[in-house]
Amino acid sequence: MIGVHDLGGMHHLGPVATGDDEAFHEDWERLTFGLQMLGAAVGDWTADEYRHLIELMPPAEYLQTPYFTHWLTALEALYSSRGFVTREEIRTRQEALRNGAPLPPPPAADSQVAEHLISTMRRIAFEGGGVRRPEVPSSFSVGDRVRAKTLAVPGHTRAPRYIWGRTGTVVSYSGVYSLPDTVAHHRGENPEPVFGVRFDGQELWGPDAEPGTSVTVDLWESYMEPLGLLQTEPTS
Amino acid sequence: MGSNHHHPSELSDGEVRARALESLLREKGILQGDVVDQIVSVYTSDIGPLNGARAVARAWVDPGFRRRLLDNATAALGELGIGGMEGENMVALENTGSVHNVVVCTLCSCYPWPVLGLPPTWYKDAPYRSRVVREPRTVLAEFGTTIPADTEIRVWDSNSEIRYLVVPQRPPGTDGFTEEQLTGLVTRDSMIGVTVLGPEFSNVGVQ
Repeated sequence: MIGVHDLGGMHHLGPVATGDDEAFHEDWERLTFGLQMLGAAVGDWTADEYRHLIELMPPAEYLQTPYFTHWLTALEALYSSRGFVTREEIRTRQEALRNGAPLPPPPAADSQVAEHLISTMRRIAFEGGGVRRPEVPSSFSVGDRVRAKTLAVPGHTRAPRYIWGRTGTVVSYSGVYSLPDTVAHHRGENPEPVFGVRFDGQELWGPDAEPGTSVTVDLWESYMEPLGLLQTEPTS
Repeated sequence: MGSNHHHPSELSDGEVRARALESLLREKGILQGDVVDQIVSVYTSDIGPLNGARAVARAWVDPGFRRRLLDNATAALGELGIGGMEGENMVALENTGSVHNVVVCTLCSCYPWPVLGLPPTWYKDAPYRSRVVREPRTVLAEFGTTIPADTEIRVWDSNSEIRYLVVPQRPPGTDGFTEEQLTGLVTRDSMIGVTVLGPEFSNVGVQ
């Protein structure tokens, strides 16, 4: 989607706060990170669905709110869509907190459940998940000149806007991966070969680009087309 | 509380939302005990830039490891017991006298957790994500880093499942250093690529 999250190249978003150096500022941000890791243990959602829910935030809100409220937006949607909680319960509990009402005391913890949760979360943290898919034949190879397609699709995609229509060179092969565009919308994994494609700064930003710079972006095969085929073909 | 009247809280929106969700998940038995604190502690104490620094220092002193790291970073990091979520498919990018690498995620905040821990706020916010792809030399200068004009700058946008680790150049004057001493020199920012180590460029913190 052409969304506010697709920030690459935008002007006037301010100086980089180089001193804003920590991952967390406040306890609720640590808590939100923990609730995300809990979701990785108990939920069935993918990173692609998670990211897309953040992309659907109202654009002004996306730019004006602290980073971890983006995560809360996704987590509220996911925990409620999977039936762990309801939207109404969330709304009511938030209202109680805003009014300073006391929260109901949590039930006593079941130490076996807690132990199982933390061991699952630690396993995810230290081992991760296998996201690479079995090899499939590819139409591209390192050295090819390619053009990134314009993907003005309304849903999720990982082709950033600033490369659309631009010409680059395949510099690396990254393996076969599920296609985020369909995974995010529960339309299957549709794995494709992925390649690192390098775009010269001037190709992306024009004559005012900083000299001697490039951007390398990973492209699923369906994000690009071979440049050779686009050029004039001999008439038969 | 003898009254129905509660004082409105001073909690931020983020705090209200996180506490509400936590409270509901506890009430339903989904969240139990201190697992949030424990997993946060994993990412603030156990998994962090020291992991990446160990790999970089090893690459500096061990040409065989350097080769393996550049050929298949996921496997080479595995040799050091480093791996996990958001680092299942690692690529190491070596800085040289002619090429400087810097990493961003323009679409969200992808970052190689197993080698660097969780990203700093500036990495996740709009200014860095929007600008470093278009004007990397200017952005690096804001970090106090000047890359010579004849050194190519390669920006890597982590838009896929690949996660990148920049291998900074070994600082000059460290020939006699042990691997452990070298590990202590490697900073997180140098492994994102926004700074360089040592005085060969105009590096921050070096007189």
